[in-house]
Amino acid sequence: MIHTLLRLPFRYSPFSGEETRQLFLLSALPINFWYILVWLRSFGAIVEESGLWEALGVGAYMLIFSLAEVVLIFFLVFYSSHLINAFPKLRRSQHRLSLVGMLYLVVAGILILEQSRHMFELPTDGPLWEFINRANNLVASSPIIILFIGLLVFAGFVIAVYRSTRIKGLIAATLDKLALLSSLYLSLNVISLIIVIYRNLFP
Amino acid sequence: MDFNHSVRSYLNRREFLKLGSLFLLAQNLPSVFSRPAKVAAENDLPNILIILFDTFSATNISLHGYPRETTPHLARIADKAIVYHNHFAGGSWTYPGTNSLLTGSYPWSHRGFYSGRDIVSPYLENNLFSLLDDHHRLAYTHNPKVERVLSQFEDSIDHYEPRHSLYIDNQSWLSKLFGRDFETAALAWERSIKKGETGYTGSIFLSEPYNAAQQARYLQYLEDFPKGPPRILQDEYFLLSDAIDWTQLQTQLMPQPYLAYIHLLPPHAQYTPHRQFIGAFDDVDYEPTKKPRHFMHNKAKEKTLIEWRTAYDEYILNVDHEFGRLYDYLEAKGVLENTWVIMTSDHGEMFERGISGHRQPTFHQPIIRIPLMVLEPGNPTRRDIFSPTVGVDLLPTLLHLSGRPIPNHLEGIVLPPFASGIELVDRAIYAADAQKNKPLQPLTEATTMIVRWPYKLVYYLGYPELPDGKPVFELFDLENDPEELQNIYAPGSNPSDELTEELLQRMREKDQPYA
Repeated sequence: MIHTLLRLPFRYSPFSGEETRQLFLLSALPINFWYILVWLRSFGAIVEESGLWEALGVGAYMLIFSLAEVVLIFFLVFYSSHLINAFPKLRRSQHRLSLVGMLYLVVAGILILEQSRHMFELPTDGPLWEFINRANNLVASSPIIILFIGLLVFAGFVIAVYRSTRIKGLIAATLDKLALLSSLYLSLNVISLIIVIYRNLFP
Repeated sequence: MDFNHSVRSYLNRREFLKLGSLFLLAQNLPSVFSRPAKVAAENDLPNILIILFDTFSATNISLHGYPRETTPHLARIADKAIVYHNHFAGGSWTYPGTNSLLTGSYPWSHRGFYSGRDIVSPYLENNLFSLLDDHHRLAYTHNPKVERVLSQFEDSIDHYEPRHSLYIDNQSWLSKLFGRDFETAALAWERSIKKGETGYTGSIFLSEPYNAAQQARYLQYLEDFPKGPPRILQDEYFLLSDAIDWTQLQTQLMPQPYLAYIHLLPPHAQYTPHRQFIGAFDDVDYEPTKKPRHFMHNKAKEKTLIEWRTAYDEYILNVDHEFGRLYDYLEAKGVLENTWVIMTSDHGEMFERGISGHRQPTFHQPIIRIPLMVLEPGNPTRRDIFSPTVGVDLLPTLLHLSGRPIPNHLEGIVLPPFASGIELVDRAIYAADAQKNKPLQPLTEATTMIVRWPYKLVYYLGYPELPDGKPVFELFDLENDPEELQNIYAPGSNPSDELTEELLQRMREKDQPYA
């Protein structure tokens, strides 16, 4: 069924089976990372207020929600990857994966940075934030800013991947390691699922 | 908790309320044509309906002398009610105040100071719901903190209505999926996707579009609620009128005799009244008495306090209107004939002395003096009670009225005029707040209070804000100085010394098990 879903509505998949798995793991990495961080930030308060089991329960549910988000975002990224077929020089699927993977991580990084501002109450002065605030005033919506930055980064990476074999190799190796790290987070998703099932069977 | 979602699983909130109204109409048709509707109880016990409005300060109620006419409906209902003019809360905010009301004991006894789940034995087992177990017991609250309080008594509540069920976004999908563990799942969902006051969420991709969609959804309410519909967290919206409609419905559907505890959030901040109440006091020439900044202030500016007070007063007007609507319904349906209706609060609200809200641990009158109105079944005559009473009195009173024994450990008394032979004039009333004190340790950072009419002594200890770091006593004469402008505490003279000794002695007794 997953295979069928991945094929639809396109005739050809842009990635091999192994690369698809790698892309899924990459999609999961920033999402799970941030969910876990947010959970840990409130862990102490929940333990103090309601106990350890409640705090674990909240974490388990959060990781279930994160898994749902991972699946959704993965399909979005996967289908978006078909657009890259429009670039004739990216014939090798590994190149396509490098491009999509890095682009995805950069966008996720920007979104995490945006949330970090609130979490760590980061100062919002300096040239970067000045630029963002100015752009924000211009278009009055932060998602548009993020899209704008994303497009700039996209253009930069397209040029880099087109021109440098070394960059391509470096990116591929990095993505490989990150995918491995992500599989560790995914094991937490599995544990969370078990906790959630248990809590609903034995409330 | 026993979450009853079976009906709402297939209907949204509005559909549910509409269907309920139709059901009621159909149910009442025969009585419309034959005789006035009258609810028949299965036994002689009357029902008990407790309507608690969170953060409702008696100081801002015109029925109790406030210059702005904030409660025209309460004034009219008072003609048929017992009105308590000097009623106090057991604590200055939700946990101690509500726990005291539900257990008939003071915060330093039940120890429910902070987390909402701290109550100790025997107060935990002997609560409003467990002691009135010959009633069908229903509970609802908008307030997540009160939900935590009520969860302590879940085994004694027959029907707990989840708070989200009367929210505009009732998260029915979440309850369908995780109904048996809804509370935890809802908290996780909140942390995952809702941009609360923290500004960050677990979801990096979906929270922004989700919150934008939610905001767009609430735009439709802006016409009626220019400040946005009432909300508890950043994006948990509800309508007070829905809760009143639902309460009306329950009075018809519940098995009798019932005990319903309905803890509604308004007029708690944010102060977001219906359009018709905004600007109601623009033409009223009223200037609150200026008072010096208190050492426990939270940096609230005078101008802001004046603005917030007006918004709060407008919100009270909204609450008053809705309570009036509920009263009219109960009267028309004959419910008042066999139901004790009690309207009260858990604590008040403050707009003076550089303090806004109710989380600063002080016991000034706006915080600690709350309304209490009792409608006696079938006895619509007004009685005014000026003796000091307190939230812990409600439980023993209800037990007395229901013919149930009153456990010895309860610290309240049977309220006048139902008690006989009790001298109320010289009675001592207490309150305690210890938000940062470990509940099972002696009080080292706390505020405590004793009222022995007309004097009120307040004792602050252990706070970093205290001048010179030393404990502070404040004594007020409430009869001659109701605005509490003069601290008349004078060590070495009475009543300062008597009250101090009495208060400290009581604190020592209550701390003894934790020493």
